[in-house]
Amino acid sequence: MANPIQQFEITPLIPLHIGGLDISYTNSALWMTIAVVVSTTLLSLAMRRRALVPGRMQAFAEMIYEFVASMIRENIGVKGRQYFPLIFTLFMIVLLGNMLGMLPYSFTYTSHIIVTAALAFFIFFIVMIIGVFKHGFHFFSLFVPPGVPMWLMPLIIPIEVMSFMIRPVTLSVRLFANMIAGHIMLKVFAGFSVGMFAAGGGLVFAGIGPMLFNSVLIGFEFLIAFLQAYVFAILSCIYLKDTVEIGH
Amino acid sequence: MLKFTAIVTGTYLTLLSSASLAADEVLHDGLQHTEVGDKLAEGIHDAEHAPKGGLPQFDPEWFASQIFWLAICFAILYLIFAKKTLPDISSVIENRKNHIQSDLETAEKLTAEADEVQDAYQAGLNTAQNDASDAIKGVENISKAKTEDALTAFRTRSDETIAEAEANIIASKESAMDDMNQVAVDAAAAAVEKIIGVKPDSSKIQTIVKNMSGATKTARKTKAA
Repeated sequence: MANPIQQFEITPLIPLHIGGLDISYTNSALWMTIAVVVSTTLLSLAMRRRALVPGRMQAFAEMIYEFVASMIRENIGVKGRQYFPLIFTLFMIVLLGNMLGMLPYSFTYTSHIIVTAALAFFIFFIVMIIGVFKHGFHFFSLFVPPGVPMWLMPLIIPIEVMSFMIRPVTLSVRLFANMIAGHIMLKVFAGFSVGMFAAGGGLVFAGIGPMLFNSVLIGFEFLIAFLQAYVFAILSCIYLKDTVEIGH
Repeated sequence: MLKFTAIVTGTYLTLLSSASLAADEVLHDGLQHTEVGDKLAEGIHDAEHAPKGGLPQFDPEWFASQIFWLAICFAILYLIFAKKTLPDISSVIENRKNHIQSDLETAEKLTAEADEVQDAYQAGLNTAQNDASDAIKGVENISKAKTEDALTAFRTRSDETIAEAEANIIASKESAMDDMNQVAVDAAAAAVEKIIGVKPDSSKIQTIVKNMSGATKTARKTKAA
């Protein structure tokens, strides 16, 4: 049975070292590049005709656009427009990572904690920097919820600070754990079937079971691939809302 | 900004390794009690015993490379989306919105124009109807007046005729009365001559007869009154 972990292994394609750092072009980087090429090509092709009455492809591109736009409108508000390219890029890079990972023999870069963490911390620091830059010291009133009695403050403020600090961790671990768990599960079930088929005899028929189950799981994985990209984007919106207005 | 993120993310790596260990534990605990979980745990277990040891995700060897290429891909994607793709899509959507808006406005204008034309048509129809009824009334009046004129003319003429005829009748009646008086005078003269043998004065008799007939006439008249 093939090792279900093998799919996550990184192999360098073009070795590259800059100042002691190994930044080789790996299979992970290759699939990131593919995601960039695929998403930009698809969207450009779809919008090529700029038709008044959209075709199938154009309608799909506009659907994604409206999807992200309404997500920002509902979660940040009108002022969120400035973050639209950022959220859109974030959504697309995660969605493409998840979706391309569903291709056989591909590499799922969103199943690597360092990738999801880099994205999550990127958002976290954007919120911090823009928040402090825009609101100054007032930004830290984020940690002081309104209507809380003074004597509770020593308890509430550390909790609020903690929940703020933990954001990038939860954001990155959620995506990473979902991706890695789903892909391992698919591989394990596929491994069952392959093993049973290889064993021969009556097990050949029994091997159909995990295979059928795996087909269902694959559908389920596609749902998760989309859902996690959506969750990642919407949580980024909610975090970015703090830079636009401080609720209290 | 991106460079900054890369640096910052690097500094957080130590923090992350503990967080990811926690995640690893969660993964084990959460899935342990199902069949799938068992196999999954087994798989992870297998991997842990693999020569390299542990999930490839937690091997820091490729952290820098992944962050570097992710940053580059993210930056490229951001630039393409921000400068080209998103303005394209938004301009198409905006364009469509404007087009629909202007179409709606044109439709409204056309409707208003149609209403105006309808009103003008209705007004024209009304005046035409009024004119027609006026004309009909005028013709009717003229013909009525003509008929009346003719009728009055006929009536006056017939009245004249009747009056003439009546006058004729009266005249002939009177002449007949005169003749009767003459007969009465003659008869009275003849009677007087036969009775007394003297030829009376015809003018005297005439006066008497006239008086008598006048008296009867008056009597008749008074009686009638």
